[in-house]
Amino acid sequence: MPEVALARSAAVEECVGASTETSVIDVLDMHCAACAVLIEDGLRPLAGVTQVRVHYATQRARVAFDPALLSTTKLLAHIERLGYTANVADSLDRKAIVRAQRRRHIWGFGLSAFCAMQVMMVTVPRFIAGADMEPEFAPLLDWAAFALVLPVIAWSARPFYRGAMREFKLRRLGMDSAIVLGIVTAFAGSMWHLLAATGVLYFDSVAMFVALLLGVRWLEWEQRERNYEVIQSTNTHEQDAVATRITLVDGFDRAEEVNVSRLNIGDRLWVRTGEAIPVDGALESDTALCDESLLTGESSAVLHVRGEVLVAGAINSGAMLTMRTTATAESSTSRRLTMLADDAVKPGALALADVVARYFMPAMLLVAGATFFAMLPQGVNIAAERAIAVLIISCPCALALAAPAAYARAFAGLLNRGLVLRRAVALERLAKADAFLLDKTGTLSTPSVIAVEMLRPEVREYDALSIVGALEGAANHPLAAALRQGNFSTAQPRNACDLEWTPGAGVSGVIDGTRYRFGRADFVGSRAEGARDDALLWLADERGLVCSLRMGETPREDAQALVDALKRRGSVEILSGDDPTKAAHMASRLNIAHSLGGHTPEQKAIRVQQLQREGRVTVMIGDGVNDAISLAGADVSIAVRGATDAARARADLVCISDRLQAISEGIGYARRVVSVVRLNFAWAIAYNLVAIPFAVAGIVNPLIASVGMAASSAVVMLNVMRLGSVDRARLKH
Amino acid sequence: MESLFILIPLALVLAVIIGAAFWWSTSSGQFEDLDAAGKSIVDDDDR
Repeated sequence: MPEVALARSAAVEECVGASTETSVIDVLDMHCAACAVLIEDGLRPLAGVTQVRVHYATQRARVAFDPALLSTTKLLAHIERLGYTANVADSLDRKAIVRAQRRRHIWGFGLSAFCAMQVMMVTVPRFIAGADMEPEFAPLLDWAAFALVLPVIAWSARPFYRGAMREFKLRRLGMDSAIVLGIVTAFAGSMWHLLAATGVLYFDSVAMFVALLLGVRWLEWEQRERNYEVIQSTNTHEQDAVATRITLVDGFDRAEEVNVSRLNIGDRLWVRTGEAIPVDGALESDTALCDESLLTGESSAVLHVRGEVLVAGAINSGAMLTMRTTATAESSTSRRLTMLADDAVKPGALALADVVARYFMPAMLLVAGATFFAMLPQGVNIAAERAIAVLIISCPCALALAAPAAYARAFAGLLNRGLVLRRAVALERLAKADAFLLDKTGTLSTPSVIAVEMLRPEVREYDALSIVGALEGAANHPLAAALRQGNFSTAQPRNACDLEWTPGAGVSGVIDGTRYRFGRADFVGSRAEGARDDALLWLADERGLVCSLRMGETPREDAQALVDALKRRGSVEILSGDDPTKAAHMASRLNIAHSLGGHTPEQKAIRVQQLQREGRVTVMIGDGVNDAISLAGADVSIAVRGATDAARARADLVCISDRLQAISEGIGYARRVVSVVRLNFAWAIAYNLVAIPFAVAGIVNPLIASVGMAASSAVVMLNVMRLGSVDRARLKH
Repeated sequence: MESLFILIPLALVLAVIIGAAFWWSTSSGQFEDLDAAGKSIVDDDDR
């Protein structure tokens, strides 16, 4: 036996050796979605990096890497080399940085806008007077324009130069390269004309171009900051989690629910099936199976043996385990936070934005170059003017912003409605959803005990109920929670050991030397009258039945409203592990046409697949351990408030609001986001298709081009703003 | 029209002064919270 244990622990060690570590890094000076792509591409080729995800909305990079080949310090250094400032998440005074950034935005935009208007003041008379101007005034006005454009070129435009440098380091043509190219060609051409005292000057276009671009960037930055604040305030919201602490009283373990933040090092905890490990700790049970896919990407459950480290955020997928904490909630927080957003897959719209950012610019340079050479026979001046107009008017910004800006907003907007979007891909599918599968108990209804019938006269009801309460200590189900708390507050707490829970059947355990079983009739082996009645749960000891509990359930307050709202969008059915007649009863109460009861977790998942094969976009709404598989399989999965960690870990969206209607509101919101993204793309593509030929043909001059370009970006941002404002106050549900 | 030779340099000098004033107001944080001053009048507590 010791040999087996030894071999097992060696295997585990090997596993740990080959496993990955995850770092969360703040990159606070990302200024657009393209930056996120840039950093991702910069980190991916590093030896040892297994997974990189840079989240633009939260300005965070999450990197999974092999600790043997790489370290967090090296990752930070590498991001710095790419031209960004990187810090370990939450290590900096973010407020001070944000304040400095806001000042930089205001100052950069203010200065360039002011100078641009002044440049107009001195260039407009030249446009109007044309050849009528007395020749001695022309140089005066031109040099004044030059003096006024200098601060814009030398100071305000610096963020673009920095961005272009980054892109150069990565050998990529990005948005900033294009902008700098436009600025430099227009400015150099104007300088040439100024010194030669012939031809047209584009100082006004350059200044306007820079000012408008900075304006749009500032707008975008403010949006993102507001989103971040909302996201941040929810992160703390998520930490009101409870853990089950056990203390030794009279030689027996006694369980109590404690807020995770109040756990001390050395506390002993119970972690039930489907619950997340609340803080880092050492395993005290002999073995435990943990699902660590959220932390390391390892998809199969990891086996731990006594004494091994359990990492906060891993989910107990085996039997209930006992552990001793080795860290406080604070020192394990960053791992818990990562549970929030797990978007390894990019939604189609964002992926499209990446492609655009990558290929649009090279294509535009080709068009500009071709225009220049095609116009060369008509003179260098005309050729240069056309090429500059093409460079300025073509707006990769609108295309690149179209999706990310909307997604960043959607993230915060959904939070305001009480939903955490954990996987961005789900948003597009949620908008198309037309089949809704609802779990019954815990999702649509709350269970309660209606009546207790004692079957053995010598046992008091009071004792029986305390036994049930103790046995349910191991189970992770809304009914168990109800039985543990509330209902039996008068009963003397009992101490149970050797607890075992079979989801969907019942619990067993030893109390005062007697083995008890509590659950469905077939689980306890009841053949008593009423054994076929599924509303009854039975308690039995070694000698036979002790009592029966009649369970009832009431629909949650706004279950009806949710069902009505979902019915307007598609088909609704109840998918329950509970008895078919009870499922049907609840369905009729809530006006749902279809209900399926008595389904095992696997059968639930099969039903989801069945609907998917029919071409339906399925949404699974659930809460329990038995919903985890079907949640993972559905197109969109939503875990309701109070759901087990196992269900939440599988869910694309987690409802943090008590209101079930948050879900239907979220679906409506998702549809609006997707339509905004679609409209943005349509607009950006249409704008470029119309504007570029105009510039090539010489119909628009560089000044109008710069206004058009900035306006197209502004339209995209304004379109996103249609999604409504988000604010922190609304989070208080 | 010769006055332009004085007026335009003068405009440039003014622009520099305005620019400096704007820089000062930005760096002293005057644009950071534009709502607080307006809301302070309906705030109950005397802070």
